[in-house]
Amino acid sequence: MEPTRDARVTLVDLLDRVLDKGLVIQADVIISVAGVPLIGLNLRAALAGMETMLQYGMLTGWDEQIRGLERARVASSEPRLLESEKMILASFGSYWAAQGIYTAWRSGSLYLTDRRLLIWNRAYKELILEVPLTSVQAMELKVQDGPASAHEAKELLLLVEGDQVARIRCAQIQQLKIALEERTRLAGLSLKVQAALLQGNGGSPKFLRPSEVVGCRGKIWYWAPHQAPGREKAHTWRPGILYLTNQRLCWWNEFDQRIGLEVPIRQLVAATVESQQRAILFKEEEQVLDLIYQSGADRKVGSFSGREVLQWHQALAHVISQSGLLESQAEPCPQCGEAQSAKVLLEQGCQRCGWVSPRLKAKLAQTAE
Amino acid sequence: MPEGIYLYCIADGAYAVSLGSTGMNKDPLPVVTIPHRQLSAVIHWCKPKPFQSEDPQTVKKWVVAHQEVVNRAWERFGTVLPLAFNTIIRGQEALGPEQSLRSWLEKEYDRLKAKLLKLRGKAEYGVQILWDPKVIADQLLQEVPAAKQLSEEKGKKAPGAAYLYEQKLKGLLKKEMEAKADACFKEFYGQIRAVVEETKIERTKKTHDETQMLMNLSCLTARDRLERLSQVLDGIDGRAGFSVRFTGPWPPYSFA
Repeated sequence: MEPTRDARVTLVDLLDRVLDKGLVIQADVIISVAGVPLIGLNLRAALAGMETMLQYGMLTGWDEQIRGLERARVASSEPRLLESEKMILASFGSYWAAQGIYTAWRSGSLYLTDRRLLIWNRAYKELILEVPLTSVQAMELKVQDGPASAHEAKELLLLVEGDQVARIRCAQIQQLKIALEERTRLAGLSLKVQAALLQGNGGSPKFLRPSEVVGCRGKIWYWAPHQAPGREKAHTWRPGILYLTNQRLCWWNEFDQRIGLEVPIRQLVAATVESQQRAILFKEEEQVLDLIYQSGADRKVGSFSGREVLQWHQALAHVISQSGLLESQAEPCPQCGEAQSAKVLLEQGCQRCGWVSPRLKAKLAQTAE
Repeated sequence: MPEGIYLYCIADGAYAVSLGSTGMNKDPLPVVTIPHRQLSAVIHWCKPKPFQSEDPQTVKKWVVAHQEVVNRAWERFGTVLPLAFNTIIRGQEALGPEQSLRSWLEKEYDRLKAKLLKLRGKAEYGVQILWDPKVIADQLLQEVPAAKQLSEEKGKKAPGAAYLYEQKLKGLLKKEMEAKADACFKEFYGQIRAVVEETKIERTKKTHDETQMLMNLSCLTARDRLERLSQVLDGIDGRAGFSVRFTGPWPPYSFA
């Protein structure tokens, strides 16, 4: 076996010898080289994981590549700004996306620049909301108290061009509003009267007609029929808001954000209140408001439940008596369909098949005891 | 005249020659020898401050240049005492660095002479013995009855029990490997020590492949009596699972 001095093989050996060994002079004429052994150590450290300089070079490249990727990733996780566009506020936020059949709160990074309000989805690198500030015509901050929101949430409503309302929630909503107002003021834009956004209850002002005036509104549960075809007979209690205007009775479905029941006042026939055990929702007996209304040629019953049922009953009875339809119009029995006086039907039961309303049934049971 | 002297090595004999320029100094001052009685210092004139750099490539270049000068002196003058990297001598009071060097050489003359005498005609070699733990473990599996038995039983067991047998076998093999490493070290060291002048046991290092370094030696031996070491190393290299790295000849850094 022959010894080798091939520099590629012996580099580490050589460094060991030259840096660590050799005669060390202990004399005061030797320049103090306090930092010098560090050179050796540094070099050794650089060599420690790599036998050859080739490998060292490869690893340097790898390191740079990884750093480059990370830089690119961070850069691409922010929306691209226009030239000379300035970032004013960055936070997290969401907006109510209601286009077509798809409705949901969509969340992302919210940015306010001097020109736009943006919500950016980092994961998909997609702008999910882009509102040019010049298109904002009005804004209002309001507390959202619909049954669907577990907590009181502040929402910023923006009226943008084309009478679209953008609903925005944001962790720093107050700052966002102030910054937005400041920007629009600086941009020389004047916001319209904000009452435009204040009709009705939050999130549902759009369905009101200009001539419509809300008389009563309140949270209430509605025994809502299923929408799915083939399951018409199935119902569920759903939370929502009932509006009684000078024209209509409307129940706004808070979950689906759309009207679940709409009856013109003229078609309201009768309203009664009964006690029922609706075990699924309410542990105790609850007052249920049954509303009979005309739907085309048919009569239908809509049931509501909630704390304000009695008040609603009063209000509805008043409206119905005003329209004077209760006595004059005949009503088909829900069971056999025989047309008879609504009052008789409700207070005595069907004269033909013997159907009685649940309330009457309960009353009869009480008297029998 | 610069105020520092970079000292590469001390050569045996009086020479006043130039060895050409090197990669160490940026100034094109050549490497020269300064004779003092029957010793010569191999130096170059430099600024009185150490060579320092953050860049490993630069330092590596210096180290290689340092080695080249020592090597050149060694081949030319026969016997040298290499100095540690970055040994720089400065002047003292009214005296220049050359006077400092000379007075140091005078003071240490006898000791330096004795060392040089001891190193005359000799060189340093690096010997590193490595083994492949996988191959060795396979051997042990066949050689050690307890391990063999465990391994055979493991094959017959259900996966759960086989796992426990595997762990047991691993523990046993680890112990056997350690014992074998110990025995090999003693055996090889004995063999090598018998055919060289002097040895220094260096720290073993991590390798960058599947092998492990078992032994790292610096050996001092006469340059013309290398055959016996070569034969011993051939014997070790020929064993299954073992390999030897044999480097040199180096100037006697480890024995200065």
